[in-house]
Amino acid sequence: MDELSATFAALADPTRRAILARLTEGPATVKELSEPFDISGPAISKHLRVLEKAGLITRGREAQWRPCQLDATPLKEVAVWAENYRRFWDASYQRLDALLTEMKETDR
Amino acid sequence: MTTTKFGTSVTLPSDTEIAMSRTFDAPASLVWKAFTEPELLRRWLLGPDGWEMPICEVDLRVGGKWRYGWAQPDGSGAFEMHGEYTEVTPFSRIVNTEHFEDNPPAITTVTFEEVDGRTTMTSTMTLVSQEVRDIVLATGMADGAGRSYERLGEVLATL
Repeated sequence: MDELSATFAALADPTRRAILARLTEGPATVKELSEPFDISGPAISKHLRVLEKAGLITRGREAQWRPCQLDATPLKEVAVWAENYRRFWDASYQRLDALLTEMKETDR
Repeated sequence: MTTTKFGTSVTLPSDTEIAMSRTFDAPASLVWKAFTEPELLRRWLLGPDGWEMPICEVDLRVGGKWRYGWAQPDGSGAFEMHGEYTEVTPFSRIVNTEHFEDNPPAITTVTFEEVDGRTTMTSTMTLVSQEVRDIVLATGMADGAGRSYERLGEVLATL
């Protein structure tokens, strides 16, 4: 799976998105992150591993706390992809305008 | 929600779709032709300057395959996508699957609507989830370039 797909896959789960949303406010521990959710600590840890593997979060080294922090780098790739997509179609449609003008003249 | 930039409007028909609409000053028969004949497609479906379309195969019938490939004139940067047509209604509507690299396959529906000699072509792409769609929209498609990165934190906060 390429990095963009890994980012999409990591974002596809509502709990993981909620965790990321919480981390936009600042770093948090696993305990703090699990508080709003009605799921077990191990389940939260599993989500954190997916996010960490996708490069969306980093975790501190302190053995006991290991606070989680948001890393927006992979999201930047999503942004670049979207911008390229828009740019591709804008440029192409402008060429199509010119081609259609030419086709209309030939039609006459 | 509707936004317009350079004449291309982006709308949200459902939770997992992004639609792009563009009106052309030509009848549907001509827009259809430009969209389905390889020798014409090659002249406009090129994106930014500096790209060519060495691969352009169109077998326009239900079950028929399509394959597009782009590269720079020296052959570098080559990439391609392919898929299969699942619906073909002349001058009106095309539905096809779309495979691009390792991405999950998407379904694209293109419609052609002619009013007073002008044709609106709408391309609807089905994405993996509502949230991905919202991020895609928030980060670039409906907005200008450059500042999108700074806004990502806000986007995430609203998920």
